[in-house]
Amino acid sequence: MNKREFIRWQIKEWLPLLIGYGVITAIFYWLASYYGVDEFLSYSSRVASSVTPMIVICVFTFLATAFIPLAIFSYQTNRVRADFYDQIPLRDKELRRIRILIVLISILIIFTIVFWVGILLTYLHQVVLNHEAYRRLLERGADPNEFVPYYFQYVYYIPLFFLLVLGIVAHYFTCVFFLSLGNRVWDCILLLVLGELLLNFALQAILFPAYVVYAETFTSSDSSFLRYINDFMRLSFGFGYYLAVFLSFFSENIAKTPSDSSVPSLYQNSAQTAVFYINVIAFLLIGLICAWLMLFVKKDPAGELAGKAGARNRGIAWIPHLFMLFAGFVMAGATQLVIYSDGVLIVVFCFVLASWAVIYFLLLFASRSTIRFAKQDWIRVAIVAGMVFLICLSTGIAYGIMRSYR
Amino acid sequence: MIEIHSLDKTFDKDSAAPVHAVNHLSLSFQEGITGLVGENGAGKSTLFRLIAGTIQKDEGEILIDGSLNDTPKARQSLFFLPDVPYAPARYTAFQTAEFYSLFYPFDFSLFQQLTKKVNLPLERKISTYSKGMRRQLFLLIAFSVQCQNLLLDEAFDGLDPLVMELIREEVVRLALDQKKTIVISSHNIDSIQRIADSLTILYRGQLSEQNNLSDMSEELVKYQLISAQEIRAEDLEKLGYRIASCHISGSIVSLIVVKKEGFEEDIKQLYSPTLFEKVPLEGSELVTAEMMLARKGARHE
Repeated sequence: MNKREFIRWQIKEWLPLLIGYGVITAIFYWLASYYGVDEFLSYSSRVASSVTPMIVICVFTFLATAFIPLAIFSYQTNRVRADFYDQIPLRDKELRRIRILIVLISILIIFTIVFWVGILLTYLHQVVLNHEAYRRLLERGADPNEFVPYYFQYVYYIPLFFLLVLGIVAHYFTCVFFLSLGNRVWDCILLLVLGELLLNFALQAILFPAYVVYAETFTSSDSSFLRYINDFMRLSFGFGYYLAVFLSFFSENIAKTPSDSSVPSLYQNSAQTAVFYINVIAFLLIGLICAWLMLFVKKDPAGELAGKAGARNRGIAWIPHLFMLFAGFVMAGATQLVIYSDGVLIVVFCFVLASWAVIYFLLLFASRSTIRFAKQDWIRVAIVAGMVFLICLSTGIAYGIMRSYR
Repeated sequence: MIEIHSLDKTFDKDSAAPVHAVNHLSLSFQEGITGLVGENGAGKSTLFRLIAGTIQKDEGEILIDGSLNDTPKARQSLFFLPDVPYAPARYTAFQTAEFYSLFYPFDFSLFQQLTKKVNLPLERKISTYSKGMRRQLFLLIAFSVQCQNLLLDEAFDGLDPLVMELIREEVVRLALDQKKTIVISSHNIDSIQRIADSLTILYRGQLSEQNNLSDMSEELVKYQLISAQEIRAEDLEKLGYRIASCHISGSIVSLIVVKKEGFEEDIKQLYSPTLFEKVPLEGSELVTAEMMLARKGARHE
């Protein structure tokens, strides 16, 4: 079998889908950048405006990483297609790996292009055209009381980019795992939605209290970087977060716009404290219900797909990927905290990052019950190690630039 | 060559009525053409799908040219054409052939030569093809794929007589020239018996008979008789004879019987026929008779 030709054919088949994602994301992201040029990439207290383009690109990319993988498993949900792909001279694992990687790499390439072209366009808009936002940045950079050089905002997007890539990869593999469990299209979609809810609610239940406790203990309620953390926490949770916000209708503070809210205010009186605990419990309960429903949905194929391999979770080393998602979200939340903080937190950040990488590798070893890895596993380990290195390096550079101006 | 050892498959195991589609089946398909026949639900398609690895077996072992059937090496040497073959939507016939060539070694010159013979329009989208044309196309793809073992499910269904003749010729040519192992299932008994070297008969997931056609024809004999008395298969079976079929057409009764000494004498004595003669057994009758015997379980009594 000619694998190279097959890969070429497969890319050609999915090209309209991938181009669709790229074009829609680019249009909305660039439009948001254009209309938000006053704030985007600028040092601004109007957090909501300054990150709107980021929210746009993230929402579209998270949707793409959730639903484009449906194409990967489409052959499993139809007997005629399944019969064909199950008999070709390619192991099922290998076929899935090829299809999974094609979609992932394509999404990452499109995301990278759209992301950096958007940044470049905004940069040109602001700097080359001498936009007011740029002049404001120059003024701030020249102010001895400020420590942010004008180009810091642009440099800052390098670590953010890698963190978003990490989040995309983690989210993608998690969605792939949920989708792989289904035997029918609607099962796949249901599992995906339930899985997203489960993860988001579970993460909310874990991260939110930790975040509040941290904010209560170490910061003041009007701290500017807290608003950034809050903002990126929201951003990194993906669209599940917004559903959680909708469901937790009784919690005003969560549902407010980022610029209006500050998390420590949740603790200002006993009523708000009660609301907070109710939220955490509700998140956990909904997460458990989702887990139960997922088990209910997951079943062996029946009808025309009877006798097929059963729930298709073979070959997915899912635990490390779920952990990657968790770690990605935590670190996305931590990025701004690191950059707008002092050197101690840089050490904490690097410690968290290194610990995450070590635990990731350990889980990988545990999931295979061996330390002797196949070539593709080493490639995966190398990718994760490379990501960790790039995040540390770019964060360190950004921090170093900032420090040199303080 | 395809070898099957103790193959077993049950669908809906947990339900109140599990379906034992393949029941501890052991057989082998040798080089040449084998016809796989059986009634609806006998397990023919399930057997093909198990060999091709499109469904998981419960027990047993399947070897294709000595390799386990789920290995890439085995898959590379096997092509299974199911009753409803897959082609990506919106593809033309030629694109469909190109698609299959991604996975299997493919002889395009043979493909084009064969499509010319049957006048298949290669540039037309196959969604516009009739059922018979689609069948033709996929059979020609199967012949052009350079695999040592071919499984053709419902191979001749929906083909017109002219194309059927060409397909039969091509199957025979492949078996002779390229020494392929070709297993064909079809309800078109006439076509099967005309080209098959041997016949495998399945009944309720079990092997009822596997033999070459000449040996089978040695076992069975057909009589025609006219008698004033009513002739019933049950009465003859009570006497220990294995009756494959008893067909009445007007006053003439046609009997196909497993050969046994004393049958002719008993018939003459019991029914005093005015006409009693042996007639040649046609190929399709032979296959049908074997299937009838399988249903009656006569061979296992």
